[in-house]
Order: sequence, then structure tokens, then C-alpha cells
Amino acid sequence: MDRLIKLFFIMCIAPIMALFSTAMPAYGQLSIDITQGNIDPTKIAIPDFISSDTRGQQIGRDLAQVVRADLERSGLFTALDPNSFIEKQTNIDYAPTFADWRVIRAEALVSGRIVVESDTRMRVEFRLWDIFGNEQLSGLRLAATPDNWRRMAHKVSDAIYSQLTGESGYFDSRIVFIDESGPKTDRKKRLAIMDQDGANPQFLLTGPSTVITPRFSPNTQKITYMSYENIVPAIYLLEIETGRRELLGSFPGMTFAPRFSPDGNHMLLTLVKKGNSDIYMMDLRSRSTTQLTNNPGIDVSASFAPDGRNIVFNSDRGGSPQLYTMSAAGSNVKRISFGDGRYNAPVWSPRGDKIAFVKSKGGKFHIGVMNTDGTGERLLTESYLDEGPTWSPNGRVILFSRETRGRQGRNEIWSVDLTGTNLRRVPTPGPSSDPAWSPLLP
Amino acid sequence: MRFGLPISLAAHGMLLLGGIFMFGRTITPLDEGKVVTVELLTLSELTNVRAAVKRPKPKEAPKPEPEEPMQLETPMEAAEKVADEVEKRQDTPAEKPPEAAAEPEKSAEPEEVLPEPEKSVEPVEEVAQPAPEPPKAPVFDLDALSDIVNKTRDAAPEKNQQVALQSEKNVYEYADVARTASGDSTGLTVSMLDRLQTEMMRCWRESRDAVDPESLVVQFRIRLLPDGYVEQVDLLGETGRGPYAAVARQRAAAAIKKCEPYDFLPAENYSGWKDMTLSFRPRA
Repeated sequence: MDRLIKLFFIMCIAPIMALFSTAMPAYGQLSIDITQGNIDPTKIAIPDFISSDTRGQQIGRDLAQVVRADLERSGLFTALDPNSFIEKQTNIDYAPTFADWRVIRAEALVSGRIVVESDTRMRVEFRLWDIFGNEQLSGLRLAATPDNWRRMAHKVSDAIYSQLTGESGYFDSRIVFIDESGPKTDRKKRLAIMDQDGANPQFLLTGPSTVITPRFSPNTQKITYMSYENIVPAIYLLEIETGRRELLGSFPGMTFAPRFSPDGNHMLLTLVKKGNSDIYMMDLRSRSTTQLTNNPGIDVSASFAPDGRNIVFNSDRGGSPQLYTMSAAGSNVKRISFGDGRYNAPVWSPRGDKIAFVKSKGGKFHIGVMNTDGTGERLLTESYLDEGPTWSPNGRVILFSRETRGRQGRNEIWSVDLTGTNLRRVPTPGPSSDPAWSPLLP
Repeated sequence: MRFGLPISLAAHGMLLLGGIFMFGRTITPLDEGKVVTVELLTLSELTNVRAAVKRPKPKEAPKPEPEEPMQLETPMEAAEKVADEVEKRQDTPAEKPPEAAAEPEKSAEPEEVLPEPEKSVEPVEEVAQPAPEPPKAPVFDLDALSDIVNKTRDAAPEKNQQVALQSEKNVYEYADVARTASGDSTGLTVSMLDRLQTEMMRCWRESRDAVDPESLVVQFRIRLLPDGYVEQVDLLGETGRGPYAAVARQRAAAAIKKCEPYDFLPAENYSGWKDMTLSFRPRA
């Protein structure tokens, strides 16, 4: 009988007691789930960097201005007006008066100093403060020549961005693009480069040759591009720092869109053979090519995933241009886009989680993103003609070229972030197209 | 045994059919009655029961010593004689001055807990010495101060006990049996919760742009003062890792501080919101 009672207790009563003991909330504790926040830009205060000498003060003002512009352009920060600051810091080695910064609703503060040690050496020191946490988030010291203050500013921006977002920055990077001049019927296209904020533009090649589709190597300061200088299109490799140019190959028939593999040792390109375009992979060391697709449809615009295992490309094998993925060996081909319209120019994000593309539908062009399996498609832009998306090194911003409508329409470079809310025109010296974003500078 | 299940099913089926056949005509529908709306009320909607902890057992008062009948030291008959002797003793001067000098020391003992215990003894010496010494300049002696503190600990331990802050007083309501709060005016109403979440929405910068934001859950326990300011914030846990998690934690902690003061919460329900667990769960 006792055993029966024990069994009854174990089978019936104990589970009920256990259930109640876990279901009861902790005594006196209110538990609340906060599931909705805001995505407002973080308000950041960046006073001019202080310095003890006149030259340093001028650099401090310019450098702070570049940092403010960098962070604001990301769309994730609002730089507060320096005129609103209550506290004027004279020494960055002391904690700021947090209450003074809270009054003006600053959430973060950057206090920096410039020390010009000689004509060839300058130190930039700064501290990033969490105003509501009453603590220093980071403190860094950089050294370079005074002429290089712009790069120092971008590095400061990268450090702040990284600390406050958890992502690596993208400000210390460059953009190669095609500078266009002349009428539409006789347009000159020259290869040029500039900082990501549009500063320091310069031509990379002399001469009038027409150049298209420049692409950056993912880990070195090399670019590949197609040139029509000898009428027959040829693919070149250019080392930016040295200016050394190398012919990778001249292929019979049409050649399209060369793009590097993540390790920089291979290149994907489209070759047209016997009227059929397929995707090939070229080994840059041996210069041998391997055919990856073999389909009567038009297969173009291949782009590697950052892990190098998969490739996304564009094909009309299903009747209209759509996006497909396949393994790096060319197997396991899978269609990932199923929406209305035509999909083109897919580019895999450096973060690996998204694919950017161009979609044309109803006479409009869009830059969009989708997950790598084709789900979660979002269109970020809409215009008369948007094309050629390229990712920032951290996979958060997309550059693309936009052509305005009409006979006087001109090409411009624009940027948009992943949310689609931060659409901006990138300043260029003149009409420009076909941007390609570099990796972070070493 | 192989046919057990089919036989059982057949038998039950027959029983069911038989029942329908036999009682089918006897079943009549109930008369339609008026539909009466019933409003369900819970006790908590009508009560105002505040949270309480079990009243601690009162400390046992020291037992008084058993009363004994007063013993008269002198019989009533000899009282007058004894009173005269006492008067004579009071009139005569003190025979033992050293003892009289020692008495003030006893009275000074309780003052030793104060910073200046020795000064009360000094006047005795000053009386003995006609020419008082010139006053010395005050010297900050750390050792002496330390001695005083130590003496205080020994002599008056109650003065070293932590005193409850005003904000911590009346935090608990005592009752014979511990109970949780229930009733309209004890818990946070839905509108108050909405208000809290709305305020948090204003203060909390979500990590919606991170990779896999739903994995970045951060949980804090916060204690609030009656005026709505944050007294203490403790991180209970977080699910994410890496730089995104660090940023998510920092943003949640900043949100708690940014929303200060929480004076929009009803002061009369302080016991309901003085101690909260906030879980920040971003949505993709």
C-alpha cells in the first residue's frame, strides 16, 4: 500500500508541484520584456581636437570635421553642433563632466588631442566616452605624418564606429570608379580613384582608353578591369600603389565582368564562346581557366561568397534573368529569386549574409538585397536607372551608379545603407559610374 | 489475444448502436432559455492586497526577575536611629579623596566613544596645577583617530551598525502570512506597462542591424528608488557573444539610465516596481 501511495505521489503530485514551483515568479519581482526599441542615430559630440600649437589646432579642427562627416554619412550617428557644448575640455586626460553632456542629449563623446612632434611626425590621441555609462569605451593613439591627417581622421572614425556598433568600420577605404566625359555618343571612360568620402580624386591611367568594370581584390590594393584600348577587350590587373599593369588575358569573343575570389588567387569571368555565354574561373597564378556553367542560357555576373564555397550568378535559363547559386566547383545550381521582374548584377556581401542585386520592373530600376537563400527580398532604391552595386568592406553600405533621365542625363555615384533610409550622393569630380569599393587600407 | 482488439471494438460498437436504438427517441432537446451574460470577476480586481512578507517573530523580551517581597533592612522601630546616623555621615567630609577623584572617570567612560574623551579628565589636572599650559596647536594624529574608532567599535557596537536608508524603510509590508500583490492598485496596470515599454522604446537603441539580432538578448535587474531614479543595475545574463553582444549590453544599460527618472510609474505602487527584471529582446 505504501508503495502505491509513493507511486501515486511521484506520478501525479510531484509533477504538479514542480510545475507550480517553476511557474511562480520570483517574489516581488516584476519581469518585463522590452521588444521594441528605436533605430535613431546615436547622438555623438565631437569637439575640435585640442592642441598646444597653431598648426595642431588647425589640423584638430579639420580632423574633427572629417570624423563628424564620416559618422553622419553612415546614417547611424548624428553629430551634435559644437556650439551647443557646455563643457569646453582643455585636457583629455580627465573624465568629462558627464552631466553637462547629458543635458545636450549626447550619448557619446569623443575628446581628442593633436600633438605635432615634428614636421614629419604627428600624434593623434582620443578617448571615446559613454555618457550614460559614465565610462571610457576606448582610448587610442595614432601616429603619422601631418600630411596624412585625413587618413588619421578616417581611422578615428573607424575606431568609433566599431566601438559603438560592433561592426568594423569602412571609412579608411577607397573607391575606384569610371570618370566619364564627353557626349553620350562619344563618351570617354577613364579609371579613377578617390577616398570613400569623395576626397582626393585622381586618375589611375593616363591616356584616352575606354575602361569598364573595375573590381577590387578583396584583400590587396589591386584592381582588375576591362579595357578596350586595342579594340579587342582585354582584362588587366593593376597594382594601385606601384602603377604596375599586367595583362591577364585577351579572350576571343565577348568577355564580361571579371571579379576576384576571396583569396585573390582566382577570378570569375564570363566568356562568350560560339554565341553562348558561360561562367569561367581563371587561376591567376597559372592563368588556366575552368568552365563552371554549361547551359544554353546567358550566364553572367558571377560573384563569390566570402567563404569562397559558393557563387551567385545571373542566368536567363528559366526564361527571364534570375539569380542562381552554385558551389565553387559549378555543381548544385539552385535558383534563389522568384519575384516579378528581371534580376541582374548580384554581389555577395562581405559579411556573407546578403546578396545585393539590380531589379528592373515596370520601367524602374531598383537596388535590392535578399538573404542568400533568396528570402527576405528588400528593394532599397528606385530610379530611372540604378546599376552596378558594390559593398562596403563591412557589408553595411552599397554604392551604385545612377543615371538621370533625359538627353542631359548624367551618371552619378550614390550610396545606400542596408535599411534603405540613408540614400546619399557621393561627390565626384564629374559624371561617374561603375564604382568598386576597396577593402580597408592596411 | 490477437483478436482482442477487434472483438473489443465490435462489442463497443454494438453497445453504442444499441444505446442509440433504445434511447434515441427518449432524448428531447432542452427548452430554450434566456441567455444570461455572466461577467467573470477575479478577486484581484476587487481587492487591494499589497505584497507582504511574513512578519518576523518578535524578539523575546527579557524575562523580569521574579518579584520578591521587599526586605526591610532596618526594622521600623529603629528607623529614626538609623536616619540620624546617615545624616551624620553626610555632614562629615569625604574621608577618601582618591575615590572621589576616581568617580569622574567612571562618569567619563561613556564619553570615550566620542572623539574627545580625554579632555573631560584634563580639567582635574588643571585644577591641581595653578598655571595652565598654553593651548597646543591641534595636531592631526591618525593613530589617535584610529584608536578612537577602535574603542568605539568595542564600546558601542550599535553605533557601527549600518543604518537603513530612508528609501529602504517601509519597503516591505509585514503580515502574518507572506503573500504576493494582487488587485487593481497593487500591480502595474496594462497602461502602466505600456507606458514603461513606450518610454523604453524611446531610450533603447535596438541592435536591429546586427547579424542575427534576435540572439542578442540582455537581461538586467534594476532596483529603483521611490523618486524613480535607478539605485542599482545588475546584469543577469546575455545570450549573444562577440562585439555585437557587447554593444547590445551597452545600449541596454544606457537605455535604463536614459529613461531616468521613472517618475511616470505610480508612486503608490512603489512596491510593485521597485524591483524589476528587464529583458531587452530585439526583433529581426
